[in-house]
Amino acid sequence: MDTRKQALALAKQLRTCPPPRVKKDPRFQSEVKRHIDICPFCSTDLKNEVGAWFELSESLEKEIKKPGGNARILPGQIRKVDPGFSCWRGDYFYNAPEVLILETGLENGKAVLVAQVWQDWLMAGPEDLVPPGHMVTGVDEVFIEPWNIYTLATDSLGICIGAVGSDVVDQVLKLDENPDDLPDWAMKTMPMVAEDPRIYFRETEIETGFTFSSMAVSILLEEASQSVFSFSIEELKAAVKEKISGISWEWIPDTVGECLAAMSFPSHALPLRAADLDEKVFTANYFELVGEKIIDVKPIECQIIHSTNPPEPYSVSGRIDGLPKDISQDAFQCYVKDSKNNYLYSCNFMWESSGKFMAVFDRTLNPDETLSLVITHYRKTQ
Amino acid sequence: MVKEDLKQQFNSWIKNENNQKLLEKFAVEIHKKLRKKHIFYYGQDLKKVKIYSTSTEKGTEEKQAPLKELTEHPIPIKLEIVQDLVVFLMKDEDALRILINGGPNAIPYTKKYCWSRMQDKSRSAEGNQDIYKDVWRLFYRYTRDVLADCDDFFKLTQSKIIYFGMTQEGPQTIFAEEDIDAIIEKISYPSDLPLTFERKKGDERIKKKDHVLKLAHHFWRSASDISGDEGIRINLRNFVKWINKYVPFQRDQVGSLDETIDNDDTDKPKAAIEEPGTYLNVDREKEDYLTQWAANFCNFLEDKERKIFFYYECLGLKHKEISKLMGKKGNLSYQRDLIRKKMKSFLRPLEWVSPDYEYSTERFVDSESKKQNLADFLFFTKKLCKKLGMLPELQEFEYSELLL
Repeated sequence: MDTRKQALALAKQLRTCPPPRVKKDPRFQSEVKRHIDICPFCSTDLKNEVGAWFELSESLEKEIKKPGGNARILPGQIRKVDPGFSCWRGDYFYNAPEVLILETGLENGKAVLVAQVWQDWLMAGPEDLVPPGHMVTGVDEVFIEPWNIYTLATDSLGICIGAVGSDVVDQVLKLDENPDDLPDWAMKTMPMVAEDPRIYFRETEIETGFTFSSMAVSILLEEASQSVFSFSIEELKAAVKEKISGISWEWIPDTVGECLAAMSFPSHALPLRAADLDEKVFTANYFELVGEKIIDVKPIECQIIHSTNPPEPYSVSGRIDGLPKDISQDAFQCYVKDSKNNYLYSCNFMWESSGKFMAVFDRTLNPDETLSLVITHYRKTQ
Repeated sequence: MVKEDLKQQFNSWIKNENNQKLLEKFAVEIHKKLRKKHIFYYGQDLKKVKIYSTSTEKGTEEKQAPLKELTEHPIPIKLEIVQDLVVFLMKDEDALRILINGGPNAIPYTKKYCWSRMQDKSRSAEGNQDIYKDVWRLFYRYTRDVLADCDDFFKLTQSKIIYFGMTQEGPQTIFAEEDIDAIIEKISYPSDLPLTFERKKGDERIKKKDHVLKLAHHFWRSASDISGDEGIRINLRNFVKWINKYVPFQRDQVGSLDETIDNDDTDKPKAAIEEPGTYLNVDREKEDYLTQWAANFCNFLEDKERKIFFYYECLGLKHKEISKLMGKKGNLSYQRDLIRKKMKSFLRPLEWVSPDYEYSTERFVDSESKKQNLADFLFFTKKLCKKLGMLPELQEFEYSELLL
């Protein structure tokens, strides 16, 4: 019935417009005003259909108990992210999405690997995985975005609304590696055309995924830094100074995170390298632990292959060589460091075992800001 | 057991007056959207309101139906809509589950149901429609029965809409309405078949049933070749519309109620496809939307972006002039292009000011090359420039006349 353009309009509202309860919340009056100033839906009666739906949906969700426990989180489940994690980012209110659980038990059970999903086939395109109806239970017209996989904190997951089999999950993971490897049973989508509404839909999907994955990274980072370093800031500084003399901090750290990220190595500890004016590098702070004892502290050179320029939001990709083979994604904590205001902003960081990395921030950098990477590796005892 | 529990809970939920109001509000908003597509309420609306096209063709004087009659819903209709929806939800387990799960497809799913329900109602005796005078509906039913009876076709009903296909094997392709329209546009009428269903005495004409089946085979096979999908499923209504494009039905046809009813011209049913310029009271309403959206986009831009856009697009200044005004050495065409990209993204989901799929060229057409949309886009840009020109930081310049 709807055209793709109309399906896009619906998707944008459901993903990025505040529901009525948020619009009425006195805490968010300035954010709501700003959103209405820029939103072509919320500033007109176009908001009414979705607004009525939000109100109806919230009432049903509150008063009707869904069947089944599904307390245990398992791969193959389609779950809502807890609506409590819906949040403002910039001019938009990102409503919690639905996700397909791909892997559980990450970060000692604190995190899961998910792929974002959407429930309107009109927005499905090439490289999306569209399982036919008989392969999905509980939801209709769902398709999976293998190009939009990220980590979420387990605690951020809400109710289970549907499920797919392990063959679908396996296929999503395969498509992450090879996007052209669609299985024979998958429903087919029309090719993209110039100015296809699905192109713009995917922009919104990426922003949504970034919003919730960044939040997850912050949660997990905070938990990681609290649990890994059980000593105080002074104890941590003393332990680090014992390993390398001449270490300093750009500002007096207030937290363990700042202690790790705002640390600078003396020139004698930095690696020598041949003068190569074209090569861009930055130095990461590497900590190796056995149990709770710091056994090594050293600078690690990170090679920048590509970075974006203003007005594009800051992102950088490159390689880090020489790390232990068993190092995993959760060892990395990435920040944007503001040396003028003595502040750390969480930055989304992705690492591949091949040595490639990518860091993505949600805006351009200010003149006093630089990228800061902390690598914390637990070496297994022999 | 579990499904019964859901129904029982929903039954209790709906007894609460506040919840009834929520459901009513939702149902009414869905219907407002459908009315904008010229899909009318059950019978009652047709008797109450005479609808005129708001075409902007030159030489025509068009009246617009009073807005009040079109937007206010008499109480009986409201209750009827909600009652129908509740009955539907209690009967259809999938619908109830979709609604309760709160997924994004609840709105389109409910819309499809309401659309087909309105069609059902319009065909009922209450709607005062005499099916025997309605050649369209007679032919639709005849075709439906002929295809259902033929082993070469399989029938599928989804959300009360009837589809036919020629094979159930292999994965289905997902088509949007515009995709199907583009495919059908390319299917020509077979030259070896007559362009009429009438049979005159002594005149050898193909039997009606054979004629319909030959047309159906041709239609579905052509659609399959064009789309590359052997199992393509097409709404039966689209097939009948395609035939009617070539084969005129009887003159006194009324036309089915998913199409605009114009009491002044009953010869041709008008398309219910959403087209610019054919909304009810569209000119005033459209201008209001475009003006608001221009203000939204102006607010969306950052200060520096507003200036760059204003200088390039509103004043038509050259690169050097703009660089000087902005205090930059290089030209700012890259920044200008980023702003244009931002505008495209902003406008893409909006009616009138973003490309529509052009069936004949099988692509989305830029507004510049489609005259009908160009006027709307220019109106939007004019409003935007006017808004920008009123900003304090842009009032200091000597240029008093904007390009647009």
